[in-house]
Amino acid sequence: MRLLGFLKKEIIQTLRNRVMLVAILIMPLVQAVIITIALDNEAKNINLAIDCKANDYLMQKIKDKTTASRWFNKVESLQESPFRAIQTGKVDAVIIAPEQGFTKSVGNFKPQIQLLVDATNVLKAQAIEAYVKSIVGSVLKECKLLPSSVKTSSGIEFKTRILFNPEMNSKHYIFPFLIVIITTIVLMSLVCISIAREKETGTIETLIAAPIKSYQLILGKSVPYVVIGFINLFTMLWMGKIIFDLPFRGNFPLFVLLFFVFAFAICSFGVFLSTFCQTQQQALLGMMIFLFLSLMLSGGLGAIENMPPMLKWFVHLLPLSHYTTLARNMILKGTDLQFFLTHTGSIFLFGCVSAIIAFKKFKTTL
Amino acid sequence: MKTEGCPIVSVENLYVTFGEFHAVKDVSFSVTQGEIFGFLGANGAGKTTTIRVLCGLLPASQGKVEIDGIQFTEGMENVIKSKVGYMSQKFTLYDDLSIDENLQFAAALREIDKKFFENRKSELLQFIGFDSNTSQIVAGLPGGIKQEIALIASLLHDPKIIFLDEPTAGVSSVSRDRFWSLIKRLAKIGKTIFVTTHYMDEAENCHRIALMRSGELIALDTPTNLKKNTYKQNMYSVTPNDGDARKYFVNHSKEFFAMFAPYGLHYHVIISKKLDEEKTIKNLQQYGTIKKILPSLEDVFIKLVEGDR
Repeated sequence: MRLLGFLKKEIIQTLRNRVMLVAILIMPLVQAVIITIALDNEAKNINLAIDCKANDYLMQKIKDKTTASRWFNKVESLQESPFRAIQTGKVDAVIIAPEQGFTKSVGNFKPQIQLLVDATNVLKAQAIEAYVKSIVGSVLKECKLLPSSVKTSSGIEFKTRILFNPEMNSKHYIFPFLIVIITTIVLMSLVCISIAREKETGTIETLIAAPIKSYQLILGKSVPYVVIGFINLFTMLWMGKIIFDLPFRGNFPLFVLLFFVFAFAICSFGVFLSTFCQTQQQALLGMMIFLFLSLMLSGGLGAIENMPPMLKWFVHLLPLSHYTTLARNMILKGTDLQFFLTHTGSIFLFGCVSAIIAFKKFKTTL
Repeated sequence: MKTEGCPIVSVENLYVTFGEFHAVKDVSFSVTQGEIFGFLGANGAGKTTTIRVLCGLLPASQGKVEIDGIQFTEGMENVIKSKVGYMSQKFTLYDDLSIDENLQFAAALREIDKKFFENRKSELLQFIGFDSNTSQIVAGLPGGIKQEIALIASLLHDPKIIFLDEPTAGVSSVSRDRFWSLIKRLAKIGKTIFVTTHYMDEAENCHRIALMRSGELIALDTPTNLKKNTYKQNMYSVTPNDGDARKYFVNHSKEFFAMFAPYGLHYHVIISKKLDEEKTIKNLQQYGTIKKILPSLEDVFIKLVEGDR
């Protein structure tokens, strides 16, 4: 009854503030869609220049082919020195034929071609390189000019099959990460701030003057926000399906379980954090530190595998990195039980440890 | 003054220590049922800490605390909490909830039976004379009403002992008077009331007053006895005739008086021991009206709390 009364109060307070309600239920959806559309890390709209003689047959073919592909914005012949063109930012890359012409060099069995790329954006540069290689390779293949001794640039012909995201749709990669980020922020901020608010306004005195148990207080503060987080998760997955054709290949009940384990961990940590804070402002600041670090290191932006060992070890402690990895896997790939258990277990462990500390600290600081 | 039977609250040699800091040092007192017991003292004197111990919010570092026959030991917090009502310095209501919702929540926290709650609620609302809409949001209410609602929220479970920690800070003087008449009525029906305050005129309403200074209890008596016993000599109120006379008193204060304290438009004075009291007064009467008075609580407070420093 005590807990029910508590939940009722939290729900009334949350529902009464219309602005807040829009902020926590609608804004995440809008944000996720906007960010996914904006953060397309596929290299597109590339400006390419080609430096060759007019009678270079193969180079003209390459030019036609690049123009026809969807990656390049405009393909033009070069008017000035290639280096200068890149430096001034007129073009992102220049394909330069050898002195005697590309066609001739292929004829001489010494195919040579030069590519200058602007690598101020490394990801884009890598993408351009890959595109140009594949186009040149396909041109040579089409014209059957490629001698059996000289294959594509690396000498080995790859037969690539891209799994789980065959179109390499970066939206399918970003959207799950946004689901992770947004549910985390909503959960943690609501729990942590709502406790800090009780302290700031002094209403916490009423709570602790009543014969209420710590666990009831903590549950009363967490459960309503876990429900809100769950609604967010659900609507975002649905939105992803409608707008970006996001698949869901995993086991849904297990995914829900994952969410609740994660919510438990994040809420516990939120309560733990709130024991250090007297005001909402402090809570917000503390949260920012934790969230920013977790978000940046969770594997959403860079691969965890590439980090130095010490940092890798640290990142594996953060629940967010496990959640990101697992959520992405479950949405795009499917569920591997062992993989699921490893990551969910790690999150659960983090949750238990912070719950125990939070519980102890919560009692003594009141 | 009530002096019914055995004490409902008794504190013996209470110590509360935070690390190196002794917030409360060797405090002992007992309170009987129906008493209005005032706690006075400067900020940080240990009033709030003492009250928090008595409410079961803070464990005592040392000493014996007994409330309504229950000895306060580790693990008994919740039993104590259900016997007492506590209203803290800040109005502990949720601004974004209505009066009804606030009271319902307070009732839920204490697991009060629904039927009992409904009866109790209307009884208490009647008690404070509140007859308008209870579905109003608290944020829009005037300070005085908020404070009364906060009071009845702490009375819902019908506690025998009520702790009020600076209940009248920041409300108008009319509301303060109203609030004190409520407190007196509560005491009449047998509730024991602990109250801390900074207002001396409020303290006059207490049956007994405990004065605290840096964690120690330095005086404990009825307001009348405190006034009688704190000063050994007679105290006079001086009202100067005009501005020049005022100047005269101020300029010669060291010469005539052992104590010279401004008190509104008057001065509270004690005649210097070296002088003959009657003669001096007769002498000074040409400059203003001089009346023999009982010291005010403020004088007592100043002497006891600040005077000995």
